[in-house]
Order: sequence, then structure tokens, then C-alpha cells
Amino acid sequence: MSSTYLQAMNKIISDHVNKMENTLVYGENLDRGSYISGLSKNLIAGPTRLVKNVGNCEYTHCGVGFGLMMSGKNAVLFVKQLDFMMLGIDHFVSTYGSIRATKYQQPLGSFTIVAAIYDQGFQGPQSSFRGLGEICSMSGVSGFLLQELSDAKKIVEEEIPKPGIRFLALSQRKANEELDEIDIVDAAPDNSVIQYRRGSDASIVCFGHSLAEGKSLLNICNEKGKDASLFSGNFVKDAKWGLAVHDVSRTKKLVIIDDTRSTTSLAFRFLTDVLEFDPDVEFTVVRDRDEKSTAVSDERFDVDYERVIDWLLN
Amino acid sequence: MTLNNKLTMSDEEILALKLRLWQMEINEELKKKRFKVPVHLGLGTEALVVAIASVIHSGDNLLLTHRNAAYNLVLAEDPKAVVREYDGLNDGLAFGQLGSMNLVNPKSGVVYSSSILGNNISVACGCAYGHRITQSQNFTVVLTGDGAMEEGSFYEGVVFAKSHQLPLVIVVDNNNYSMASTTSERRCDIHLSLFCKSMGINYLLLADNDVQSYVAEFEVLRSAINSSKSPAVVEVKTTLLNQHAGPTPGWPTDPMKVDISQGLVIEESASDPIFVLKEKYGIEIFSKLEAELVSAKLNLVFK
Repeated sequence: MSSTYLQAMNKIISDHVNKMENTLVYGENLDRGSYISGLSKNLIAGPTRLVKNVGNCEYTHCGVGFGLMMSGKNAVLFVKQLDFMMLGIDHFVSTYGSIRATKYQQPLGSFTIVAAIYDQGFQGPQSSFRGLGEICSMSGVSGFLLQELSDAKKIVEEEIPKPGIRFLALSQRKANEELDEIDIVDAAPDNSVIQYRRGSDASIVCFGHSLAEGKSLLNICNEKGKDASLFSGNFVKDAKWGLAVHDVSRTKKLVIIDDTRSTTSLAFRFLTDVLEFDPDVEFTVVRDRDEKSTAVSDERFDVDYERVIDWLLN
Repeated sequence: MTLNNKLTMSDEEILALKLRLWQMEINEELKKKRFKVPVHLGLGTEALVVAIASVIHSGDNLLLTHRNAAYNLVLAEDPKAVVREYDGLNDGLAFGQLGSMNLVNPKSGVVYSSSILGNNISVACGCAYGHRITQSQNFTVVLTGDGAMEEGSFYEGVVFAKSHQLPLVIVVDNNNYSMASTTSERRCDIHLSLFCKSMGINYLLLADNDVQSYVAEFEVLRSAINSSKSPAVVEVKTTLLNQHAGPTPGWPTDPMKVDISQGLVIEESASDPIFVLKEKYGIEIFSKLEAELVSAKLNLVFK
């Protein structure tokens, strides 16, 4: 039986977390009710792994994770929606800043925050906050977007064990979609970019949870006889994404797809790095416009594929 | 150090005297504007500081505030390293990276210091959770104050610590001031004992500035905290004897009266733990020891 995006992500994450030791796994209602809409199902406690339902104090949840981390223990915090983490911004900026400047006696533990980005607005404006990039930018905390089975497995297995903190962000918009597998061709050493296809006519680089739109564009390109490389970007400080920059320099045509609605998007940073490396690159940007209403809506990310294909063909 | 008399000061009491001396030495340097980093001394908190330092063992965690100078002086292997840190030198206590308000020394248990009011309590909850995960007999102490109590994070942290039965002692250093505002000038009264009672949290009030009784109280707390399956709150009434941060540039009302040449007692009242020691041991014993320490002062802190 095929699984939905959310079921698949839950399996990948819980399989990994259930092997961790010296770990606190915690979140509001993570072990009852809807299990955070299914995100925190199948978590199992062990001799040195506690699974705890916690009260509604998100600022404290963030501080607790940092305390465990600096004690050499691990923390995995499950969060229903990213906007809750706005309450922890003091810890991400100030506490994490102090920790980075400190030389501890023992290696830091690992602190992972698993949060859904509510990239649809049916629950109202407070639940459609997508600014993971802003949080990562102001704090220096890394943020990884779980898009497909292949990248989710890679990121969960490689990033959670690392000392320090990171966000793993899921897309609410995709929660009930079925996943079609797409293999990874290559990846940056810091997972700041992951490559899914290698082509010769263009490079499609996706930011936010827009890989699905990038795949659709790639399929249309193929139908038109064009071949393109396909990447997805993650929020990593001082990203080592030369892999993607060189690919763009090779194809000379860059399509950026960005659903983050950020005015300080990582996509712009990537574009700057590309043009600094190769000023002859031509580019077009597909953005989710930020002037959309904040009223209740599906906040669908509409991509004008025809415009992009015309640009690519000409 | 012992005295040739019937009464002998304890090691902790002598350490309190030394701490007063070290802080007064630093205060003299503050008057000269030696440091670029703002140093928050704890002149008047010596009894509390020494008591806490005496119960921090290997594996315990101590989380401090911006007013961490006294704790770091007492807990550092070499107090001079604290001053070198204030000077920004790479052989300072934190390699010149943390300065004053965030100064830590993980080797001695000081894992975190935060200059943001109420920020360190939730971090301390995480440290205390670490003890629970490994079922160790260690504990965590976090310092906060009457100003930080006003933050929502204080409430959240206390509730979290109680809910999860964490081996955590929350020490409220109540000096009645948040910078220039007294408690009554900025908020309603908070009856901390009633607040704790409402959650079934052990509450202890310390107010007499006696080093030995403070040490004894913290030893009892430490031995009971893991078996009690509850955090504890200790409210300690203190008086800052040199206002908010000593002679800090830009601070309009800093008293310049604290002067090392006048001896170690700053205020002739029970607000000054060093005066309490003087009263306890008598002027003859106290003065002899004071003179001994002051004569050696340049060997204690400064380059």
C-alpha cells in the first residue's frame, strides 16, 4: 500500500529517532490524539530515551533543547506548526550565539526541531507562516526541507546525529499527497543543495517546498525536447553549494522556483553567488507573490509554466 | 587559613572574605575604566555565592545571569583568568570570547550565563532533564532575580520543572532592583512562597547573610533534590552594595564610595555579609584576617 507524504516522513523520522540514546523526544500531544496530525506516531521510549507529552510553553521547549544539547544529551522536539517557534527566537539567536562562542568540555548533543510549515492558509494567517529562512538567517541555525523519500532519508540520517541544532521542515500542503520516488544524483557536503537530475539545457533550482513544482517543470521541459538539471536548496549558513553554482554556469540558464514568500529569500543569495561566479548566466524567477490576501484560503502556489517554457525555448 | 583563637573561620567564610577582596580590587579597576566589557559585580552577595559554589560538584550544572562575576571568581581555578577574560585576552577564562555578561566555565560546572532576563531557566530545565535521562544523582542550579521573575519565561520554566520532576534549584537573588527601579516602583508584589505553594514546590527564604547557615541550607537541598522528585525555589534577600554595575560609564548615580582602602566591610549592617562575619567573630579576629588578605591582594587577581 502506498503511503502519503506525511506517513512516509513519519516513518523515516520515527525509525531513526527510535534508535537514539540519551534523548528526550517531546512535543505537545505527541503521544495521543492525532499525534500531531500523524507526525509523531510510532515513537517508542527506551532505557535512555524518554518520550514526553509537554505543556503549552514553546519558549521553554526551545530552551530545554539547548540545555540538553549543552549537557551532551539529545533532544528531538516535534512542533505542529512553524509559527510556534517564533516564541523561541530569543533562544535561537541569543542562547545559540552564546553556545557557539563557548568551548565546552564535552561534545554538544544534538537538538532537532521537526516542524510542519503550514504552507496553506485554511487555519488563518497565523498558521501560514513560512519564514523558516528568516529564522535560520537571523540565528545561524540550519533548516532542511523534507521533500521526497530520498532526500528525507539522507537528511534525517546525516543531520540528526550531528552536534548542534537544526530544523527539519515538512510541508502541510503536501500532507496527503502520494510520493513518487525520485533518486538523488548528488548533494553538497553540507546538504545545502541536493541534486535530483542532471541535464544540459537549463538548471532548475527550487527553494522552499517547491520541488514538486520543479519536477512538473522538468517534465514539461522533457516533453518539449529540453533537458534540465534539478536541485533543491536548504538553509545552511555559509552554504557549500558550488555543485549547483557550477551546474548553472555550465547550462547558462537558471530557473529559480521559490514558494517561501520571503523578501530576504535564500534564493536571492543563491542568485547572487551564481552571478558573482558567472555573470553570463541568464535567469528567471518564479515566486509565490507575497501580496496575497491573509484571509483564509488554500494559498495555492501557482506556477506559470507556459511563461517559463517560452523563456527557456527562446 | 585558621586563626590563633578559640573561634576559627570555616573555609567557606574565608572564601567569602577573599571574594569580597577580589571584587573590591576589580571595582578599583572599574573606577579607572580599565575594561571595555560591562562587569556586574556582586558586592553584597558573597554569602549566597560561596554557599552555591560549595555544593556544585563534578557533573552538576550552574546557570548564571549577567551578574556572574562573583560566581566565576570563586569557581575558577585561577581568579586572574576572570580578569584576563574581561581584558579580552586569549588566555582568559573563556579564551577572550565571552567577556563578562555571558561568561561561563564548563570545567567548573558553569555551563551557561545569560544576560537576558528569564532566558536561562528553560535552558536549566534542559540540563536538569539530562540528569533524569541518565538517572544520575547530579543536579542543576539556576540563578535568576526579582526582575526576571516578571518575565513569562520564569512562570513557564517553573511549571515545566515541576511537571517533569526535575532536579533543579531555582535561586531568586532578590535585591529589590531592576537597574534603577525598585520592585514597588515597577510592579505589584509577587509572593513567591505562595506561588510555589500553589504548585507544591519546596520554597526556602534566606535573608540573614550568614555564610555558614547558607552553606548548610544548600547542602540539605542538594542531598534531597533527587529523591524529592521536585524542583525547589530559594529566595535570597540581597543588597547590592555598589548599585547596578559599579562605576559603569554612563550610569549617572554610581556611588564611588566603595573603596578598598577603607577595608572589606562596605556597610555596617546585616545587609553586608562581610559585616555579619565581623560581628560573628569579633573585631580582633576579623581585622587580623582582613589585614592578612588585603596585604596579599596584588597576588590574587591582577597581573
